[in-house]
Amino acid sequence: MRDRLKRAFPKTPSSFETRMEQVLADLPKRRSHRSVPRTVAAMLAAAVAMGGLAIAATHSQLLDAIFPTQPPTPQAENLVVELAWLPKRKM
Amino acid sequence: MWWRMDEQQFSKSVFEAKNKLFRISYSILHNEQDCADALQEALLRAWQHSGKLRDERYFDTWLVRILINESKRLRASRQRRSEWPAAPECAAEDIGLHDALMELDERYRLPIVLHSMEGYQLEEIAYLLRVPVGTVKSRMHTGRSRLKTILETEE
Repeated sequence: MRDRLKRAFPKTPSSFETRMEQVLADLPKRRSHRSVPRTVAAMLAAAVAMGGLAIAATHSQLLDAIFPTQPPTPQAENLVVELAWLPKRKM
Repeated sequence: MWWRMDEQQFSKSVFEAKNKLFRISYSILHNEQDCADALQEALLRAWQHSGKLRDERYFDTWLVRILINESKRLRASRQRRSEWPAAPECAAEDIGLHDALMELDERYRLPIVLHSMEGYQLEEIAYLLRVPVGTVKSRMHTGRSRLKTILETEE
């Protein structure tokens, strides 16, 4: 069946082969200019997006809303007072 | 794993598939000149997008799919502009089967050509034609029976 079907089609014409050779010869001129792989581009875009989100969260009241400020505990206040008595480090 | 085909690999694979590419394109366009035009567009498109292909084992099927799309696009463009040229006299050895095949609707002809002549599996044909496997099976069945009827009528 396969051979009979093949006989039902004309043989590959020389014009088809010639065109194929011409296109293949031109391929180096038409090399794709995409130099950065898609994954790298996606990672860069994600990093920029996350950076933008971080800046936006810092400048808005979002972080204060999520983590409301509380007065320091007495232990923390004592610690600050104790640290104030330490001698300053010489530069 | 990132894999990219170089020019030599690409050219070698295309040359190996030369006759098959012609027959598949011809089964859609029925015209040698148009087949060359469709092939040119398909090769350029395949080369420009070759970075998308992750596994060279699928190059052949991938290229055939692009060629089928380009052949259909060219045919649609010609039909819109009413530029469909008269088919030149065919040089096939088995003219009777050639005419019967071309008389068959394309949706039945293509699965027969791809399976019975080019040896593609049903799943591959489903991918190539963008239809479910069940549709491929039913089209092949209908196509074979219609082809048989056409051949019997001509005899």
